Amino acid sequence: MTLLQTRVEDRVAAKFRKVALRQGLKPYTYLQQLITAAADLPELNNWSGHWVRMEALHLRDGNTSFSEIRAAADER
Amino acid sequence: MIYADTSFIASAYGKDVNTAAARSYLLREEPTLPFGFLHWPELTRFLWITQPEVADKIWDLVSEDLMERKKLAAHEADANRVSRRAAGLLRHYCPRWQKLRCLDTLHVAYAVEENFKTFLSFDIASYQRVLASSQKLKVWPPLTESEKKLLK
Repeated sequence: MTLLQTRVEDRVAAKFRKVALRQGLKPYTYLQQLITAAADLPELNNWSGHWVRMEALHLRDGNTSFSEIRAAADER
Repeated sequence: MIYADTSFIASAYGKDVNTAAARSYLLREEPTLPFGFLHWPELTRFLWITQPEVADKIWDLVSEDLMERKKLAAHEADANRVSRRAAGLLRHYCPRWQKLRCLDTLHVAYAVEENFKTFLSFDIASYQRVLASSQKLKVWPPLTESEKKLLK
């Protein structure tokens, strides 16, 4: 199956070719590698992908719980 | 048909002592959790208190998830009907469990009225999970031994 016959600006194509050659690959082989890697990425809109997105937010460590936060405000 | 109270959803979108447990359940079941009128204010408060620097970003994620309807789905219920059911539950149970709280009872009433079968909650310190179990909802995490004693 052929995928992504995409027209891009000349400067983008030239840069892509340069990066591929720098890695010892032909541009098409490099493009195939990128597509394969992208297909292996977790889906971000399910619960598996959810944690990837949450980790990127660098949340504060929570040593408390929702119940304790409520109780701290005397929320009944 | 799974209903999660705000303690569960907060553990999934924030970081607290129950986040690891929420994560393992969600990865295993991949449920679409209903997001109703009780969740909006409670989750907002939790996020802006515990993660003030990134609360806006988390809220964007919640909004995006509500639009995609894979992890969360906005759920509409008749607030009057839910409240009347909660009043009925309180009339019946609060003489026995005097620390049973209104908001906790509303969550259980919501799940019962909307015919959910499973009730997810980490609110072990209250009578909410016990009440849910008394209404034939399957509670997760399972009731603790001390919670089971309250049912007798």
